[in-house]
Amino acid sequence: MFDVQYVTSYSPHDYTPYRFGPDADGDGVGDDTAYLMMGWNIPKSIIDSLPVSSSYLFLYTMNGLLPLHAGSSLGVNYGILKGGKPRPYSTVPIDQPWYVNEPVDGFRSHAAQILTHEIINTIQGRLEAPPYNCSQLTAAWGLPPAQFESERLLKLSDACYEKLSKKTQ
Amino acid sequence: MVTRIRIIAILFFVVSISLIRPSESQAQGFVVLQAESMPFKDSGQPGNNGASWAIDENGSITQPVMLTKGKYRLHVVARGTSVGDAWPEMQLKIDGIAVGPKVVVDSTDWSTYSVEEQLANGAASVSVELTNAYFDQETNRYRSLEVDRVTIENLSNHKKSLPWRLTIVLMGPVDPIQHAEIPVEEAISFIETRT
Repeated sequence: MFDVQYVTSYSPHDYTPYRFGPDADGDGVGDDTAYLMMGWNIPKSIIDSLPVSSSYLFLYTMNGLLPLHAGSSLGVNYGILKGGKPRPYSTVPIDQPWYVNEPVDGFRSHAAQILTHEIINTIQGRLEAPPYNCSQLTAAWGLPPAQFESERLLKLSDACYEKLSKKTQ
Repeated sequence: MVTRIRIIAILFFVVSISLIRPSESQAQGFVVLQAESMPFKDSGQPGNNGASWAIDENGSITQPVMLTKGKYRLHVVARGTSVGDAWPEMQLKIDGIAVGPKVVVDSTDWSTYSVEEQLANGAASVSVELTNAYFDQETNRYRSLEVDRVTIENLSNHKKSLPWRLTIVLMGPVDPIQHAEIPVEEAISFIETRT
């Protein structure tokens, strides 16, 4: 029972750099830099304009910068404050060679597989926190993507569904 | 006369169909498959006075069922005989594909082993397989996997839902169809059919 809303924004945003790789210049950090966009890189005016939701998914472009991840998610501890509560969110760069509507194990679209993984991450991010305190949506590493995500969703217990049915936001 | 022959022919056709599909079961809530009555058996013999089936060589017992798409919990009631310092290993399969991990049936008492799986619409073959058969020539004993029954529980009948409001924010030059709607629709469908 997903209620999906789309919002478009053309406001500029920042990126968060992460250093990695060999440290040839000896400054204590890697010499290469990868980037991602997280909530703190998004103007407050955009966040303020968004409707209250269970979670958020931000699709953005890297504009030639090296991406750190295919997608990133944060739970309520580092969530976006909306409606008086922190909300989990994901950010996914879409101008990457893997973000395409071409099949990957069990999915018609590789992009869909990435989004499925990140959306389930935000579901976990919300449900592992109070008042739900559900168990983590884990699965064995190495499984094909569709089976991996299916196994994670099977971890939603009857007790967790029961708690969810009493709260919608 | 011609009409009577036609009626007999139609009846014969109906009987023929029922004979070649003798054991399909509709899995709508709980369906119990008694091991000794499962129509396809690769090995073994009746056990427990005919109320179970003991698989003693690498092989399986199988029954076709009709399923409606949804989440299922499958329970196998089984017990084992340890021979050659090992207990029998049991693998549950749907249409020949493993469901859940192999289980060591390490008790001579009946125990229930359960696994959950999302299953598709239509006919499916449910199998219980012994994967580590062994015959001890000194004692003349088989490592035996004895199965009492398989219960198929349709969890989709339970009142479950994942109410979720998701806001998707397109930041900048993001194609609303290729980058958003197409993959989002598949991702949401994937999650909704499994919750």
